[in-house]
Amino acid sequence: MSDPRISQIEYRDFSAKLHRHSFERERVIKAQLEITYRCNLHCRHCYTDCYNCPGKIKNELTLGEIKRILDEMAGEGILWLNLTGGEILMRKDFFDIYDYAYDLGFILTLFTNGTLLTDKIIARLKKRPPFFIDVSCHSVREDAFDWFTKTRGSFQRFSKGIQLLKESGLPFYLKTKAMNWNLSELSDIRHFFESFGLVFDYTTTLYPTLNGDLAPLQFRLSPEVISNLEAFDLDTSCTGRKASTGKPATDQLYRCLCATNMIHINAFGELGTCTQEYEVRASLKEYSLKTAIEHVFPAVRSLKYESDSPCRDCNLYLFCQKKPTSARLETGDAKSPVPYYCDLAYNLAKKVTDSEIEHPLQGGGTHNGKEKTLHLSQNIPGGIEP
Amino acid sequence: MEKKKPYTSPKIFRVELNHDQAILGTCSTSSTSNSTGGNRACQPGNCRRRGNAAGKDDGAPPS
Repeated sequence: MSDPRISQIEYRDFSAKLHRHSFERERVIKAQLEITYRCNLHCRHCYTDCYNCPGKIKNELTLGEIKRILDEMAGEGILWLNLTGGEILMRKDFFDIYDYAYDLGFILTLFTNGTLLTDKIIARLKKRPPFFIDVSCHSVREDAFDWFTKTRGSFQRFSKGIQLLKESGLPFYLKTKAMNWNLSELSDIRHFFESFGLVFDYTTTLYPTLNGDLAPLQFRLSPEVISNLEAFDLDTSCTGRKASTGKPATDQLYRCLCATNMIHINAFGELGTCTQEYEVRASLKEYSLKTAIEHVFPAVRSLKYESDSPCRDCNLYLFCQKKPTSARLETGDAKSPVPYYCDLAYNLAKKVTDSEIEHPLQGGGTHNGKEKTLHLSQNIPGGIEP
Repeated sequence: MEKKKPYTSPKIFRVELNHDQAILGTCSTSSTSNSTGGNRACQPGNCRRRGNAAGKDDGAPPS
């Protein structure tokens, strides 16, 4: 029974307050830990599957190393912890990791493909439930799902997994990426989500693989399609202010929230500021978590646009979804604009502003023109056109 | 010289973890994130989207 002298506050207020404080004080409160690159599926857009091989897996963090990192996270005051992969359930010691993290008091979320969920795993999770579980849903058509995962029977196992989750009462969400090959079934995916009582939402950003292969980008939607798809209102941000164009206040390469309140640790134990930030990393096999953060965060913040990259003074930066590491892989330079994202920012800005908009690459702006060529050589099952 | 804030004693609150509110309590960075103000920016609308919210509270950076 709770102590009547202690008043209760809503989770949303607690979370908002802590996020605000952590941002103002640049204090890390959130972590994403990739516990493995192993996965039973080989999704065509996956940025980690390139490391899903024995030669790479042998370098992954051991259980002992993960426990040490979790101890250090708790010591640093990190509260929210997301376990992801690869596929988290591919690790035989998954529950050793999970239980250890649970005992340390983290607010735990799990990312999974859902295909390895069993009655036994569900029963174990029910005893010590995570905050919630996110399951990836690529398609609601069996042939297309299995084509995309390159794994026959994956749709059946995915369907069984989410059915088990539903019956268990464990909190879970489905997530999807809108891509050129599944665009035509987006409304079916929506109905599928809603049949579980879940809110439909999607993302559209795709990344090169960790070893620099651009193949996932062939599934991108065009900027025109995305700007017409976006479900949310772009005319107000979370601030309630109207989104507007204007020059950035600084030359910083990372104008997002990188290097403020969250960390990402990959399966090899390399700490960065975001899943997609690979400009500065420090190995937790060599350094303590505290030392790694103290090294990486200032280094990321110090990265600046020093050349005449059009990104430096771009009026549309608030609409831009470019990630510097992806830009480096795609164009050869993290500071170079990615024409795809310039087009997207232009389309989104046009949608929400009344004034005349100039395309970021017009008016004298240039990029280095080093974009790599994509090879479109996939055989997509009948009826699905890229 | 900045005036020192008066001391306030710590308070303990009880919080029930409510995952339905996880998407909502994410906009804490807004005070520094407009185009002419702070150094950091969040993209319009992103905070409302699961899986794409820079400040979302599941531990995961934006995807």
